[in-house]
Amino acid sequence: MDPTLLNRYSKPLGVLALAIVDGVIIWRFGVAPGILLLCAASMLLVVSLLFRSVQALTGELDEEDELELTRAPTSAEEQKRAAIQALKDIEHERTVGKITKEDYEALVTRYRGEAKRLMRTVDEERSGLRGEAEKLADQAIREALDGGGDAGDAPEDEAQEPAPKPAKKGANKAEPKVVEKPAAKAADEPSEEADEVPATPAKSAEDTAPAAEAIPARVACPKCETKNDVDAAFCKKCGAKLEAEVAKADKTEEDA
Amino acid sequence: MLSLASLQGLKATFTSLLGSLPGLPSEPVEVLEEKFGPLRSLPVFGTWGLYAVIALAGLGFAVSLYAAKRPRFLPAARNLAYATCSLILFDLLLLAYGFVSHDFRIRYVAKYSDRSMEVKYLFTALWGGQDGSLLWWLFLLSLYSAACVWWLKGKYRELQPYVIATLLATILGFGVIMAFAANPFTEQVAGSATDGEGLNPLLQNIYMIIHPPSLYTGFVGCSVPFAFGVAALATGRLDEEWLRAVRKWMLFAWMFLSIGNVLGMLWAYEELGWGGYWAWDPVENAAFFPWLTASAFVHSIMIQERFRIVKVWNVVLLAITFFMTIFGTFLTRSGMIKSVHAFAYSNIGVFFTYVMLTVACVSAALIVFRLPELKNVHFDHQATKKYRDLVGKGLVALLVASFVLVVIIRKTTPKMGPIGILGGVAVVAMIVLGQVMFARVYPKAAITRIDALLSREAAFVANNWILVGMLLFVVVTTTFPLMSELVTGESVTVGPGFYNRWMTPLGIALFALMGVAPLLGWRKTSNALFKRAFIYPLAVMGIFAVAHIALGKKLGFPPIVENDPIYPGLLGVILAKWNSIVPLVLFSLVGFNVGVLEQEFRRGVQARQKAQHEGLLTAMVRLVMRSRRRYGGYFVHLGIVVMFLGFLGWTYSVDSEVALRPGESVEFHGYTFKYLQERTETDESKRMIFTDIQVTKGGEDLGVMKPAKFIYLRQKMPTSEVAIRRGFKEDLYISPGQINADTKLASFKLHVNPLTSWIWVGALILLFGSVIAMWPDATLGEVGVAAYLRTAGATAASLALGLVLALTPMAARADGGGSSSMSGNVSMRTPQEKSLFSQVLCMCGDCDRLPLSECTCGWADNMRAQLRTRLANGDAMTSITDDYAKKYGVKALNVPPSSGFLRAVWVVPLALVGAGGVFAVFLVRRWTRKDDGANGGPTPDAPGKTPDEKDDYDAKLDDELRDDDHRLR
Repeated sequence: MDPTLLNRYSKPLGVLALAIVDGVIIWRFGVAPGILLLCAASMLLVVSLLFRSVQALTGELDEEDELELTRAPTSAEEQKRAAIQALKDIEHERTVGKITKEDYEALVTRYRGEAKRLMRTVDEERSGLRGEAEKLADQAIREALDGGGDAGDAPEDEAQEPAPKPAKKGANKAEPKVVEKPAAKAADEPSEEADEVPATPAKSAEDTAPAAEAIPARVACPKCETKNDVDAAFCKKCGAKLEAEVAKADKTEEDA
Repeated sequence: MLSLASLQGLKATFTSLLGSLPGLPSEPVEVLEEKFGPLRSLPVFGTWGLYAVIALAGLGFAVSLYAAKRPRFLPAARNLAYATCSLILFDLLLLAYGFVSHDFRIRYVAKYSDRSMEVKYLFTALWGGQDGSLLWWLFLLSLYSAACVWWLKGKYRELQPYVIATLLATILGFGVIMAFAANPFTEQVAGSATDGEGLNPLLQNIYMIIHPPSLYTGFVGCSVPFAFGVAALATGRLDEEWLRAVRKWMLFAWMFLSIGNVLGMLWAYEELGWGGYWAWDPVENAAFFPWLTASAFVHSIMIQERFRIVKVWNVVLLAITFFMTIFGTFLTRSGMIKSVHAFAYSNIGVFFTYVMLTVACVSAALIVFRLPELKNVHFDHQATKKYRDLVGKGLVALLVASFVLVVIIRKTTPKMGPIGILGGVAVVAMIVLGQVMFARVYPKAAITRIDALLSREAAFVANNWILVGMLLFVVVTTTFPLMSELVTGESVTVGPGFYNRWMTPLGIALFALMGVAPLLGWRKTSNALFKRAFIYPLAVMGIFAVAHIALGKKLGFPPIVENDPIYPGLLGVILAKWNSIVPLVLFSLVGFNVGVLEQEFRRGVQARQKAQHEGLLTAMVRLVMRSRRRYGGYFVHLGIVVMFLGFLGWTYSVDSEVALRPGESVEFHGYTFKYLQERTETDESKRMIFTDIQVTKGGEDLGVMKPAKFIYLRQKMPTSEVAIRRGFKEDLYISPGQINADTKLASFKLHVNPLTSWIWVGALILLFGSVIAMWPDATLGEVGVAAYLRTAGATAASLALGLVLALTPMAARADGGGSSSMSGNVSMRTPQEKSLFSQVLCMCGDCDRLPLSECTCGWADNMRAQLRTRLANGDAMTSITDDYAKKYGVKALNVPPSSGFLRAVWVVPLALVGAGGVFAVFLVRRWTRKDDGANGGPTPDAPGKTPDEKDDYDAKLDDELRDDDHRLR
C-alpha cells in the first residue's frame, strides 16, 4: 500500500479504531471504562500534540504548512473590487427591474469608467513594483554570479503564470521568513521576478553554459556537478556538503 | 480498580447484558460502581487539568503572538491550540467519569446527581449546574477553536497567529474563571456523601440551568468572528479579506443563536407550564442581546463590502456581539440582576467583570489605535505616527487614572458593581479620546459617498439602527433593577407587561423595514420603479388587512384587541391604544412581507426564464444557487415572517381554570373536555399521576390528552407535566393543577394558544435559509467531485454536529428532570380580577417574575384570595396595587410605576434609541451629500477621457466580471 495514502488516512483510521474499541468496551463492560479509555486517549493526544509543538519550536517538525501569502490590497485595488461588485449589483437590479434603463446605463457608464480608471492605477502601481522586482532580481543574479555558481534553467514553470493577481501567492514555501507589510510585499516579488525573467533574454539559459541573466535556481555540486536545489545542504547524488552555496543563497534571500 | 473479583463480576454482567441489546446498559448502575468505583485522585487530577489548561493556553497565546513575527513557529502555535483543546476534552471526560462512578466527594457531582439516575441523565448533569455548564462552555469553545485552527491551515497567514492568540486568550480567561471561581472538581468540605442530592429541578431556578446550554453553541460561535476582528485590527489588515473569512462563521453563530432562542421558547412552552414561551426574563434577554447585534452585523458587512465604509461600526458590532455573549453568560451565572448583593457574594461575578473589562478595553483600544486605517484616510505615515503618539499618551493617562479610581473605589466601597460602571466609562472615554485626536490630526477626513437615500444601503443603516436600538432598550431595562437599587436603594421588577407594551413598536418597525429593504436596489432605486415595486406588496397587504377586518372576528382573530393601560394618564392610554391595533398592523405587514418576497422570487425567476429559457423549477433552483446569500437571506426573512405570524397568535390566546371529578366534562372555547380518570405509574425515580382527558370538538373525537403530576422520590415535590395538542390553527394546552386524593377533584388550567406552531415552522424555514446562505461557494464543475464533496461534507458535518450539540441538552433535559414547581392552579373569575392579578407579581420568593395571573404556587393562591376579598369590599384597583407595592416593595409590580427616578426605565432607552436615529440620519445625509470625498467613492473620470471610450481595459474588465462571479457573491 502506498505509504503516503496510509499516512493520509492514519488519523481518521485511528479515530475510527478508537471509536470501535470504545464502543465494544461500553457495550461489554459499561460506560465507566469506556470513559476512562477516552480519557487516556485524549491525554495521549495532549502529550503527542505537546511533543509536536516542541518539535515545531525547535525546528525539527517538517510540517508541510503551505502558507498562503497575501499582501494588503492597495486602496486602488480595494476600490476596484468595490466597483466590480457595484457593476454586478447593478446588473442584477436591472434584471429584476429595480432600476430604469436610463439609470442603469448612467450607473454602468460611471462604474465602468471608475473600474477602468482603477485598473489602470493598479497596473501603474504594479509596474512600479515590477521595476523594483527587476532591480532586486538583477542584484540577486549579480551576487549569484559572483559566487560562480552554475546558473541553471530559469524556473519556467512559474514563468508561465499570467499577470499576478493581488490576492493569492502560494509560491514560496521554501522561505517563509517574510512577514509584515513591507516584507509581505516582498513576498509577491519572487513571482513577479518569475514573470520578468522570460522578458529578459534568459532563454539562452537552456544549455549548461552560465548565462548572465539567469537565476541560480539550481546549484551544481562541486564534486559531481549534479544540480541541486539552492537551499540544499548536501548533494542529492554524492552527499557532499553544499554549505558554501547555502550561505550564498541565504544571503540573496535576505537581501531580497 | 480492576480486581479479579470484579472481572468475574464483569463476566456476569456481560451475560446479563446480552439480553438487553443494543444501547447503553441502563440498569447496572450499582454493578458498575463496584467495578469502576471512584478514582482516588480524580478531584485533584481534574483541578490540575484545569491549571494545565490555563498554562497551555497561556503558552499557546505567547507562542502564537511570537509566530506573528516568526511564521516558522506557527505550527507550534497550532499544535499548542490543539493540545489545549484536547486537554479540555480530557477534563470534561474526567468529570463525566466522576458522575458515572458516583464520586460524591466532588461537590458538583453530589449536588447534581444521585445513584438512582440513569446513565443518560448523569451525562445531562454535566451541564446541569453552574460549574459544569461553564466547563461545557469551555468545551464548546475548544471545539470551535480546534475547528477554526484546522480550517485556517495554510490560509490567512497574517491574521492566523492573532486569531489563534485571541481564541486561546478567551480559553485562558474562562480557564481562570473555572479554576478559581467555578471549579467543578471541588471536593466537599464534609467528605464524601453516601448519595447525591440528585438533579434537582426545584431548588435551582430552572431557567438558569436549562435555558443557557442550548444557546451556548451560538454564544461560543461568536468568538471566532471576534478573533478575526481582533486579528484584523492587530495586523492592520482591515481590507475585506477578514470580512470574507468572518462572514460564514458569523452566519453559523447567528443561526445557532436563533436556534438557541427558539429552543429556549419551546422549552419554556413545554416545561414551565404557564402557557407562554417568552417572558422577557433577564436570562432570555441575555440570549437575545448577541442575536440582535449579530443580525445587525450580517447586514452591515454588506455595506462595507460595497462601499468600504462603516468599517469602524462593523468591528464595534463584532466586539459588542462577543461582549454580549460573555455578558449574557455572566447575567445567567452571577445572579446579578436579582440583586447586587448576590453579585458581591458570588466570586464568579467578579471574575466575569474582569474578563468583560478586558474584552471591552482591548477592543476599544485596538479600534482607537486603528482609526486611521478604519476611516480610509489617505495613508500619511507622518500624520498616522503623530496620531498614534497622541493616542498612546492618552491611553496611558487613562489607564493610570482608572487604576487609581479602581483602588479608591475598592477602598471605599466593598461592592464590585461600580468597577463595571467605571469600565464602561473608561471605554467610552477611550473612544471619545480617539475620535478627538483623530479629528485633530486629520481635520477633514475623507467621506465615501453613497449614491442615494432611496437605496438598500440606507435601509440597512436603518435596520442597524433599529436592531441596536432594541439592544439598547433591552439592555437598559434588563439592568434597570440594578441601577435602581444603586440609585434609590430599592429594586424594581421590569416584567413582561412592560416589554410587551414598549417593544412592539420597535419590533413592528423592524418588521416593516424587513419588507421594504428588498424592494430597494443597491446604490440607487429609480423612483418610478420603486413605486411600481410597492404596488404589488401593498395590494397583498391590503387584501390581508381587509380579510382580517372582514373575517377576523368570525374566525376568532379580531383585528383590534383592547387592553388595559399599564400607566395611569395619557402615556398609558396611548400605549394601550397603539397596542390594541397591533394585531391588525402586524397581520397586514405579514401580508406586505409575503408580497415582497413573492415578488422578489418571481422577478428573479422570470428574468432567468427569459434569459436562459429554463423551466420554472430549474430557474428557481438555479436562481437560488447562483446568489445563495441573497436568496438564502430571503428564506430567512420568510422564516421570520412566519414566526411573527405565530407571535401574533399570542394576542388571541385564552385560558380558563376548571375543576372536574372523573366522568365530568366541561366546555371551553368550542372544545369539550371530559375528565376520564386518574391513574398512577411509577418508575425508579418518580411516581407519575396521569389525568386522562378526552377532548372532543363538535362531536369529533380528538383523542385523550394526558397532563400529569410527577412526584420525584428524592425531591418529594410534585411537578406539572403539561399536555399539548398541536395544530396549525391553535394549540390545546392543558396544565394540571391539584388533585384531591379524597374527593378525586382535579383542577386544570386550559389554554388555547392560536398559531403557536407557526413559530416553530418559521424557525425551520429560517434554518433552511441560513444553510443555503452559508453553503460553500464552490460549484461541482469548478473544483471537481472530490473537492466539492469535501467542502460540502465539511459544511454538512459541522452543521449536523452543531445541531446535535445545540439540541442534546434540550432533549435530555426535556424528558429528564425539567419540570416546573407549579402545583396549584390559577382561578380568576372576572376581567377585573384578571387585570389586577396581572399587575402584581408573586412574591413567595421562588416564583421569579411571575405575575399572580399566571403563578400557580400556593402562596399566589392565598394572595389571590386576599386580593379578591379586597376587590369584593369595593377597594379601588390602584389602592390595592399601591398597598401591595408598599408591603412588598416596588419590585412586586409587573411594570415599574412611571414616576420619579423609575420613569428612567423607559425615558433613557427611548432617548438612546432617538439619539441613535438622529445619528443614523446625520450619517446617511453626510454620505449622500453631493460634494465628493477626497478619497474613495466614485469620482468622475480623469479629464480627457470620455467614460464610454473603448479600450483594452474593457475586455479586461469583462473578464474580471465573469471571473469574480463566485468570489464576490
